[in-house]
Formats: sequence, C-alpha cells, structure tokens
Amino acid sequence: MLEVRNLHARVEGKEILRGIDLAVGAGEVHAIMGPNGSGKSTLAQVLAGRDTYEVTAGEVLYKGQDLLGMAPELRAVEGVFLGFQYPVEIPGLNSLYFLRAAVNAVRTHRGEEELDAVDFMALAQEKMKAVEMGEDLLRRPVNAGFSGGEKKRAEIFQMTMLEPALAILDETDSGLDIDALKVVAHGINLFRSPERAIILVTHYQRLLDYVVPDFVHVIQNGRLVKSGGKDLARQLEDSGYAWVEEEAGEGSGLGERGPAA
Amino acid sequence: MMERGAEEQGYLEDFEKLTARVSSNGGAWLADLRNRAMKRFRALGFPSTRDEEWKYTSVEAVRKAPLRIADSSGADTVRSPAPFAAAGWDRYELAFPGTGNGAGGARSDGVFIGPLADAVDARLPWVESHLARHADYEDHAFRALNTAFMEDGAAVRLDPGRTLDKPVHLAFPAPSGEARNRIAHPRTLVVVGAGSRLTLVETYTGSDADTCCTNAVTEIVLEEDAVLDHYRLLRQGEKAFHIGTVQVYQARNSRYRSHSVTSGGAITRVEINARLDGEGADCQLQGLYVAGGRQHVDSRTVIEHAKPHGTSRELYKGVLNDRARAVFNGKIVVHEEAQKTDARQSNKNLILSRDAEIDSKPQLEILADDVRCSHGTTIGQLEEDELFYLRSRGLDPAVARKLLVHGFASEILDGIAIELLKDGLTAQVFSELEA
Repeated sequence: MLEVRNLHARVEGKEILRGIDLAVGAGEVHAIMGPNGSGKSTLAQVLAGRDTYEVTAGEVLYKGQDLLGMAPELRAVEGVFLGFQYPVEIPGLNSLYFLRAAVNAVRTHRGEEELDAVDFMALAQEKMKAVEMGEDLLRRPVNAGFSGGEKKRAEIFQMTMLEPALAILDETDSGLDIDALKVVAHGINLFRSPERAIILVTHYQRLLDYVVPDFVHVIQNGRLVKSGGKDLARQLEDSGYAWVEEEAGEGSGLGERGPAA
Repeated sequence: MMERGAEEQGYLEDFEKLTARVSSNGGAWLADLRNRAMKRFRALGFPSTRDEEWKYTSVEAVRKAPLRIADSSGADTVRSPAPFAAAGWDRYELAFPGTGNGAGGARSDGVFIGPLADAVDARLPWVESHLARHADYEDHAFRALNTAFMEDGAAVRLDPGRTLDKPVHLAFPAPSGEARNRIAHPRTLVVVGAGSRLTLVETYTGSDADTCCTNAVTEIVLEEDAVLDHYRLLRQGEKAFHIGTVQVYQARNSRYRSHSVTSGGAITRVEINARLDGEGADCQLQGLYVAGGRQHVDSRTVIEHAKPHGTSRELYKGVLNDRARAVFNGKIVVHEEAQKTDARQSNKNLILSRDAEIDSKPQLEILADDVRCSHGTTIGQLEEDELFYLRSRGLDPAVARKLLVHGFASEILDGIAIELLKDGLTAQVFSELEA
C-alpha cells in the first residue's frame, strides 16, 4: 500500500529525514518508535503533505501512485489520514459542519452520494460510541477547548468517519491516561481490517500493549535504524533507545525494510 | 476652508425648505435646536483628513456629491424591501420612510413606539428632556447636520418596569429608486425606564447602485437597572455613504449590549459612544465589519467610565479583502472618580488580500488608579496550521479558507440572540464574503 524509498526532507535548511525506507502492506500495523527529535513526526507530516517540509530526495508510492506529487486534500480523499499529535483548535468552526464537509469530500471523490444532515448524524452517533465520545463535543467548534484526551478521541473518531485506507497516527497516545488510552486503542482495533494499514508513530511502548503491531521500526536521526516484530517494542521499553543507538553506530546505519507491500 | 461654500449651498437651500415644511411641528425648542445645529454645521464645514478624528477617513466624496434631501418626508423615495425582514422573526416594526407620521405610534401601558415626529408633536416630556442632549454636535459636522435635518426616525420609550414581549425593529432603507443623490438624516431616540428591558434592532439597508447617503444618529438613554440589547445591522449598496452615531447614556447598574454588523457601502463610518454615568454600569460592544472591493469602513467607539465599578467588554472583528480599507479606533476613558473599573477591548482583523489595509488604534485614557484595563489588536492572515488541518481532511483549499473565514466571523454573529435574524444575517455576510 505504501512504499517509502530513501526519503529525505528538511525544514529551514536542516535535514530531518535522512533516507527513510519503509514498506507497509494492506492489513498491517507498523509502529514507528523513536526518541524526541528523531524525525518521526516529520515523517508523519511529510506523508500527509505538510509543505513546511521540503522533500529533497526519495519517493513515496501510495497504491502505486506518486504520493509526494499529490496535494494534501487529494491524499486525504484518496484514503490517507493523519491523526495529529496536536490537533488544531479552530474556534468558530462548528465540528459537525466541518466533519460533514470532510466526509462528503471523500464520498464525492469516490463517486458516492453526499450524506444529508440526518444520515450524517446517524453515522456520527454510531461511530462516536466506539470512542466513547460525548455528542456535545460535536456541537462545539473544532477541538476548541477540548482536553488533551478529548482531542485524541476526536481524531480517532474523525478517522472512523473518513474510513481511510492508510491511517498515520502521530503520538495519538501521548497525554492520555490509561482509561483514555484503552478507549483510543479500542477505536483503532475496531478500525483494523485486512484492507487497511496503520502506522503508529509513538514515543512509548504503552499503546502497543493494546494495539499490537505487526512490525516495529526504530527511528533515529532521520533513519529507520532497526526493525523487528512486536517484541522489539518491549525491548525498547526495558532498555531504552541507547542500545539501538550503539548497534546502529556499529551497523550500516541504513534502515531495514519491512516486507514488500 | 474658503472654497467649501458651493457644496454647502445645497444644504442651506434644503434647510430653508425643511424649516418651512416642518415649522408648525414641535414647538419653539425644536426650531431653535435645528437653527443652532445648522449654524454649527456651517461653522464646522465637512471634516478633512487634517482633522485628527477623520485622519484615516476621507469624506471628500460625500462633500462633493450633490446630495439633497427629499422634497417631503418619504414622498419621492421608493422603499426597497428590507432584506433582514425576510426571515420572519417576530417583532414590532417601524419602517422609514413609510411609517406615516401622524400614525401616533403604539401607545399602551407605559410603552411608546412610534415616529419621532409624532412624539415631538405630542409634546411628550421625555423627548424634549433627552433629544440632542446626549449626541453632542459641537465638534461633529455630521451630527450637527442630522440634528438640523432630523425628520424621519423613531421614538421608543418604556416606562419603568416594562419588558416588551418582542424586539422592536426600526428599518431604514437607504434613499433609493427614483431618488438619486439623496441624503437622509434618520434620528432615533430610545429611553428605557428604570428596570425595563428592551431589544432594539436597527437595520440600514440599500440595494441599488445610486449614490446616496444615510447620516443617522441614535440616542439611547438607559435609566437605572435598564437593560438594552441593541443590534445595528448595516448593509448598504455599493455607492452608498453611511455615517452613523449611536450615543448611549447609562445610569446606575444599567446594561447595554451592542452588536454592530457592517457590510457593503462605499464609505461607512459608525461611531458607538457609551457614557457609563452610574455605578456598576455594564457595556458590551461587539462588532463585525466585512469589506471588499474598494470599500472603506471606519468603526469608532468611545466608552467613557465616569463612575466606579463599571465594566466594559469590547470585541470588534474585521474581515478585509481586495483593496478594502478599514479603520478601528477604540477609546476607553476612565475618569478619576471611576475606581474599580474593569475594561477590556480587543480588535481582531483577518486580512485576505495583499492590498487590503487596516488602521487599528486603541486609545486608553485612564485617570483613576485602581482599575483593570486591557486592550489588544491582532492583524493576521489565515493560520497555515488551520488551513493544513482542514486540507488534511480532504477539503479543497478554497473551501477550507471559506470555512475558516466563516469561523472567524461567527464569533460575533453567534452572539445574536434572535435566531432567525442571526441565520439570515449569517447567510448574508457569508455570501458577501464569497462575492
């Protein structure tokens, strides 16, 4: 589904991604773990099309198409979803109105009929239950005044409404207490399917207790320095990132590849 | 200054015609008031940009336009339908011109709602004691003109302890139709008695493309514990000039809430001035101005805290596109006696084009030492973060921009408590933004 080849990106002249290689197939859940400043959020943003980052080398194929050549909104309607680390508050913009516009943008692109207000509400109510989100949040402006946990739930809720093929969730677990984490994890697990792929970008192993990944990659200094199965996350949790760093220093320094999509 | 005579000649002729027409009305005090105001106008002349108060707003185009009043009240003026009325909200309504003078107004149970001329003719004591006592024309040529020429307009009075069951709507369509180059001077007096509550909606609308000018003054008196929700909604034709003053006098513990929404018009200047002249008075001013093309919109407020424990909150927002120019001047004066005043002011502007311009000038004059006052101005473009967030959800950049601009304006529009009015106005403002 997604193939990232030798991806380099920089911001304000500073190179953040220094040759990312990653292949994600349908039905797979990949975790990308790394310390702060390793480039993991940059990777997520670049995949979603944020233009503050300049891609200097490499390519990204999504369902065989050149993802980097697509505008952010085209990526979204083609099925790429980014769950933001810091969802943006937009006072004055009604959540319901915004989300219906987004859902209908996707539906129109797929050649489906737009949902009217009634059908949209019915769908939203059903999906909200899964993330235990109160309906009152939908009546408020987008993310405005939401708590950290509410924002993350709202991101997962948006994901389930938009039904993307590839979800990139950037630190969706950060700032959540254990109950909220379980709710968010439950929402992600419900979303998992053989047709969909998920990339979990995270600092901690905690989320991975509840959403068990198929592959774990360690990102450091803008490269994937180690890849493995779900046990790798546990090792990182126990021993920190230092040992990977040492190993990487000795090794090639190039990231390993997941299985081909 | 010497050369201004030619433009003023028309005003002088009109004034003679008017005084001949209305001489029988209102008694000597009113004739005297008109004469004094006309004299003052002649002494002042139209303001120029050398005048500090008019530095950013040139009224040369108004001065040069051959503006004349109608020959008789409403006679040659075709009234365009007031767009705000379409929404079907429940209200008492007076339309000017159109509500025939002599109708006597609705007088019942301590409530008067009617044409100002009728209230003057009836020699209602509150008219003489308040009319032109608050809106000072000494240093303001347009207020002087309005005072000299006041004819159409409303008088609203609630005796103490009254609450009206629905809002009062005063509709002022701009002079239009066959009447080219017309100027109208609507004058409204509102006196809300002690402990009474009123919702007042003033709409100034114009739909055609002829040059015209509305020069409006509304005087508002809030007695002790009175509450007024005031909506002043402006949507003028593209060649229209609008100069307006709202002058509010607030007694002890009175509450004034103003929602001023301005769109359309070639040159628009709206001044809202409140004097909090009793302890514990509360004043809230909310404003939204939307301008595109080559429109010029000037919003000017003065909140004068004269007594202790007053509070004021002010939020004005502007959306500017194309080559539009806006001016915001918000002045807060706290007199020496007005201790424990709590005043906050904010002006936020969203600039959608490179060529749009805003001059935002907050002014604080604080003479008391135990007060809380703050002000802030923001001038910005759409936030990239917000734009990207919406695009990442599949929204086209044009749609995303539209939603963000609407969101910005909604903060003010959502403050309109009359649902149908809010919906109608919101739709109108949004369609204007997309034009």
